[in-house]
Amino acid sequence: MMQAENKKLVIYISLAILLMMIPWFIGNYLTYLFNLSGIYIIAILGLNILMGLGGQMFFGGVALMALGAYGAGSLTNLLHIPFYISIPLSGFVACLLSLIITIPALRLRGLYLAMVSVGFHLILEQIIGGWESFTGGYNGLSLPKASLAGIQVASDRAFYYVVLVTVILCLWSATNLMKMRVGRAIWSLGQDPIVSSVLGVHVTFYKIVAFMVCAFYCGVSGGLMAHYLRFITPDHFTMILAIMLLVGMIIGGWGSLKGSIAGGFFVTILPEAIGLFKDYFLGAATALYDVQATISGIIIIIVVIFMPKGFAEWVKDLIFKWSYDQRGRR
Amino acid sequence: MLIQLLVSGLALGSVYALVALALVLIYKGARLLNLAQGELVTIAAYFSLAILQQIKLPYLVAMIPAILLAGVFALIVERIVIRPLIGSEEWPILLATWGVSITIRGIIGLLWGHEPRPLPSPFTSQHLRLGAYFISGQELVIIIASLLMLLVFYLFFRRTKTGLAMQLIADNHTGALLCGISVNRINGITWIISGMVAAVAGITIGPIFFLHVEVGFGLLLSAFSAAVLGGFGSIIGAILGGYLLGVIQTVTGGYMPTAIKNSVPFAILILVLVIRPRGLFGKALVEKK
Repeated sequence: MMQAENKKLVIYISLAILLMMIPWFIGNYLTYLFNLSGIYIIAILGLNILMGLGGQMFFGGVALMALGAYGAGSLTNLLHIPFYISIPLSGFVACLLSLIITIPALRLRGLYLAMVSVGFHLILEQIIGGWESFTGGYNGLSLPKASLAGIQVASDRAFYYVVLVTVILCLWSATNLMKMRVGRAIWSLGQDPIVSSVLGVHVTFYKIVAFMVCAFYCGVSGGLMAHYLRFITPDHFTMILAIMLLVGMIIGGWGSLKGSIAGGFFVTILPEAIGLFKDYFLGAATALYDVQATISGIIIIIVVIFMPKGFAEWVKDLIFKWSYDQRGRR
Repeated sequence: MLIQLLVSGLALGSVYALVALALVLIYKGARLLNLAQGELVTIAAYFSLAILQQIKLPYLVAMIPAILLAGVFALIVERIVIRPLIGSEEWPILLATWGVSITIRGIIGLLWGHEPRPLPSPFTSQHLRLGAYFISGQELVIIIASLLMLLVFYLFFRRTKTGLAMQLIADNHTGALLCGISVNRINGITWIISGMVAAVAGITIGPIFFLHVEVGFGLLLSAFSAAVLGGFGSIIGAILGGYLLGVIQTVTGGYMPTAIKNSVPFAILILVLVIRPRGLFGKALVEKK
């Protein structure tokens, strides 16, 4: 027993050392991609709890990210709050502001909720673009460089550790949350609302909780993004990003919290890979946006039709089948 | 001023009514919301643009092949994407149509680019004078075309076997199967029809709005609001809701800033869903929470 514990500890420590050494071996650009992946991982984690586990069709995750990002931006610019406080606070800001959409959303389900959340995204984009005195409109909102105890945390490499710590905290808290009473109530909502209400789960209350948990993670992700890029415009929070997060979630597997990690990396790598190959096949003149839209749309269709449990589960099944065949042959 | 606004509102409302009708037709047939309906509108308008540019046909004649193409396109989407998913839950189909919508948007962007393009029509420069008011010829074309479409539909649903079968499927899916109606075939026909209805909307609105990738998506949201306003699932409700929403939006836009005008459909959607979820003409449904 003791030995198993020790083994686990050794694995965790070596994994931590490995993760901490990564930015010293790869260049600045790759570190930037790692940071971006971390930011998306947190957003996908939130969406996974609401959509994958809670079973709500909510397409407004990027709008919640925008709320968090502008929340962090105004907290830092107006109140001069240090970044390590404003990032968690941005989660709470998104939580509170999300009530605007959550309260009408409580009466909705399925496709009505999907359409309302799409509308919420579009309206929020217009509000952020139009309210120039507060958000800077399409000219963008700048943030000061983050600093911790007098040391600047502005380079890609320094911010990598901020992202790493936040991602680990978020993953840890989400995993534990889903094991708690609240988490299991949210999960039961996704399975069958009627059965869970019969079992004594307060459906409305836990729906609000699921929305707020999702809003918190998306808000933290947005706040992290704002402090990392130090310049945010409505163009950072487009519909295509919403779609990409959805694709990332599907790739990682519906409701799989660990799958969010794979999803986050996928969301970051896909545009890069498309950008690399696009010039060879289609010429440099074509817009990255279009190719990205086409490919992510096709991925959604293929995954939904052929891999209903999500890409990760599909691969797992495939490996299981393969190993079964191997055993059978022997 | 008000009369002019009312006519423009009716024209916009006709387009909403057509798209909402297409949405409701598919919803009733297969219990799914087609998020790609807006893109079917856009791609039909681009088809007609391509036909107008390649073969120099008059505007009204060029409509016909464009409408047929749009119908075929909708059928292809149904065959490839929707048919394998029939019988699964609600969300996979919703996601799949969302994927179709994005794919079409990407393809339009690849083929035609992102700059707004005008769809040339001889009617945009002509005006009908009614006393002190001028009414744009294109708006009249939209209103007349939509009314014609609605008349054709009325006859189709009342007089043809296929139309009656579609109504039966919408009413009682299992019952239709037991009567020996091929649900798959009727679903295909439903998709063709809704593609063609969307095409009429796209081709007639094209000369007024500039053609752009995002046009369809905005239309989808407005049409959905219109359908919900009229009571989602009711064909009459979708049509009346469309006209009502168009008039409300245009009249509001006449007296208020543009940003508010653009948010009208969404505001109405939220209001209706919160205050009277079954809409103006819908039946009250008892559903799982």
